[in-house]
Amino acid sequence: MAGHTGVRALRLRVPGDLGRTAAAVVLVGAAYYLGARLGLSLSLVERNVTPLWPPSGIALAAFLILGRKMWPGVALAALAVNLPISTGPVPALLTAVGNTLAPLVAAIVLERIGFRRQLDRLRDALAIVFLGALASMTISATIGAVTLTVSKGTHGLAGAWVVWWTGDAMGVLAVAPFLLCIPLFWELEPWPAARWLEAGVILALTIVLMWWTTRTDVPLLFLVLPLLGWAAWRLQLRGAAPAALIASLIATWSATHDLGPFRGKSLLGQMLSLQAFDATVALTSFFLAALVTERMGFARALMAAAADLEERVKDRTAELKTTNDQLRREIDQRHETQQQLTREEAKTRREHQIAETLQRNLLPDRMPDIPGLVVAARYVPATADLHVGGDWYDVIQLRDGLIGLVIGDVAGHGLQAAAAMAQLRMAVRAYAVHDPAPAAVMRKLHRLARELPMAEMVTLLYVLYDPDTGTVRFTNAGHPPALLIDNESTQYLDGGLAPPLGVLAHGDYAEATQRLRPGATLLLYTDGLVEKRALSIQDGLDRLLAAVSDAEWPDLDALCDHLLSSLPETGKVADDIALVALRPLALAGMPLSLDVPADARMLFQVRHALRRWLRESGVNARDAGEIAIACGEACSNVVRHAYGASPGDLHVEALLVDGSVQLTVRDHGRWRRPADRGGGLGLTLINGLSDSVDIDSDTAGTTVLIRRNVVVGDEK
Amino acid sequence: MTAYAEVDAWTSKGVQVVRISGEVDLTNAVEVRDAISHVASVDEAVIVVDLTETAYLDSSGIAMLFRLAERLTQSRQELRIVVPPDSPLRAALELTDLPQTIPVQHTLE
Repeated sequence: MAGHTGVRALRLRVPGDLGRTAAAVVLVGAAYYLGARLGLSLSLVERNVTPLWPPSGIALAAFLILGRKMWPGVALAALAVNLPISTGPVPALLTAVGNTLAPLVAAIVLERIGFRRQLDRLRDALAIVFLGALASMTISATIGAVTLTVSKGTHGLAGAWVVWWTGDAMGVLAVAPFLLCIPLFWELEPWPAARWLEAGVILALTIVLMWWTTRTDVPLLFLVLPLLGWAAWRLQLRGAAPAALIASLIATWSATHDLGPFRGKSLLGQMLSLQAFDATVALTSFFLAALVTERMGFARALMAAAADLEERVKDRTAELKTTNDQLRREIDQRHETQQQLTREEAKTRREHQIAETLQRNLLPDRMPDIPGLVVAARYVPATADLHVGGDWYDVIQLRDGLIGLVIGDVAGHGLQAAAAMAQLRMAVRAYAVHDPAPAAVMRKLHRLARELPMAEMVTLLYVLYDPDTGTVRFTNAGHPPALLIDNESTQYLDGGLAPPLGVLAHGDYAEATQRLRPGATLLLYTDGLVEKRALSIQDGLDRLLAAVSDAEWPDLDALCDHLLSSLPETGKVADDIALVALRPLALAGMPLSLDVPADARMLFQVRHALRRWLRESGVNARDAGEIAIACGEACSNVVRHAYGASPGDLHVEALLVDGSVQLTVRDHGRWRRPADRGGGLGLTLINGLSDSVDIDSDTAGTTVLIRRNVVVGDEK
Repeated sequence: MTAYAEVDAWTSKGVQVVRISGEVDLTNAVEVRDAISHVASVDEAVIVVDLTETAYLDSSGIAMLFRLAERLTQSRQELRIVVPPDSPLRAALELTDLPQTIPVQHTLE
């Protein structure tokens, strides 16, 4: 809307535009006048009945092409035409008004219904025939015919009306399409030379054919129709309209000159023939032209749609291909990433497996069976990482019944820490076997730590427990102190402390000694147990102390579980935790009862438990030594002979009654006579070292009962 | 050495001394004998096995000493054993015929 107004405003402001409009008005007027002269020259009766009135077609075409502002030219020209042939100025003026109004109304109506002057649709052809020509021209015919009969005082209004109406309508049908086709020559795509030649041939043939058919008496006027069809088919409006106009003009001219088929006919007959011919020509040419144009438009639209579709398909295909390529690239990349991930994962899993294997081999899966002693241990891996930390514990059985307890912490996690800890663990065992003394073991470890390329810091607590004396000796290389849990004095063993392994150039380790009473517990642990976020080490140690003091813990495993469930943060173990607890059982005043596998390796444990029991029961050392040998012989017999190659159990009981030790050694295997075993040295010793020996053997097993009177209370 | 016993040897005044520290039972008797054989010099006429530091010695150990004595006799060497008078082993040794076969003395002197 705004654009429209803008264009109009611009036109008003430009004087050249105004001049051009005025020139157009003048030209339209001139054309109207000339057309009128031509129309009058084609009258069937002198200046009266005109079968073809071109000015109405000129006026309508002018309004449709140049705009309704051309009306002054039309009106003035109409007045100029009518003045000389009317009875006075008033009838001339009225007739001119009718002649102007009819095409103006036709133009308005056509514009209203969306008429396209290209005449390229069937509905446009129908509109110009029925609305533009037949309907609108009733206006000029009515005004003109009434004015004529009234001003001249003649009768025959109906006849005048019909002649006027057909003349105006034919003028529109014959002339308007021709004029409307003229702008198309520069508005549509230009014709190539061949097209121009074809048009020329059609027009020439039309002229020749019309000339001939209008000169012969035989009614052959219809022969022009195929030519018009050709024109409409090949050239549409631009070819059909000129051909139709020429045909109409020639026919009309022939009729007015009484030639050929029109000769000798009555006026009515001439009128009917001519009007029928003109109407046929007009309708045939531009209905066909409109139809063809419409079809061509459809075909073009179809082709354009097809081309568009093809283009879109092509675009979409290209798009799809691009997307597809991209997808394939992404899939390839993802595949590669996946493979890389799988490789990484496999590597991690392998490391994990190695670390786990190391871990399993490093930490004793079960505590050694040491009669008279209870040992419990726990290891809790950190929640994250490789589930293997640098923490470890070990329980080493050494000669003379000594027990080495080790707890250590290699800083860091994973395979490296596990490997470092593996080396240290074996080193501790090797050094302790050679010389179990804590200071000696620690000095060697210190030298080893300085030799090994061990980046991690290592803390280690080594405790040597001597069951014979009931004491622990220990050296601590930067590790959290062991906790002695004893009813009388629960305390941290702070002595024997030195820096972590390998930190100082010269390792100087001192030992501390502490008595470990029967029933008391020694607890070794790693920092994971006492370290907690937002808590100082001292607070952690205090919490541990409180946790062990709140109840009696007859079961060491229960104590370990209690500590692990109450101290670390629940659900998340930030650092791994190792824990090992040792408790010598109180043996004095009650019978000794040992159940062990019948294995040669247990002989040592059994006689040490027995000796400890004898010592704690106050039995003199010499008696104790001899009882130990007698017991050892009985146990050796079980180990060697009772079960053959299959496993079995060995039960030893000792009882002190009225200065006499009663020793029972029982198995569930098969006893063999000493003669069967060769020698009999063992039995000799059992008998010789005892006051009485009873051997009770049956299929269920063998029980050896040894009695020996002892001296109790002698410190020696 | 073994987990329970250690064997060390030295020569004192023309006598080869072999000391057994620890305990000897059927698990390590053969090892201890081999260890003694290994450390005892074949040049010395007298080999003294010192049991002063031996806390335990059962029939396997005693049998081992018999065999050791036999072997040394073959190589024309003499085996002697040192057992303190208050040793818990003394009674066991005396119960066997060992003192009749192998000279037993209280000290190294």
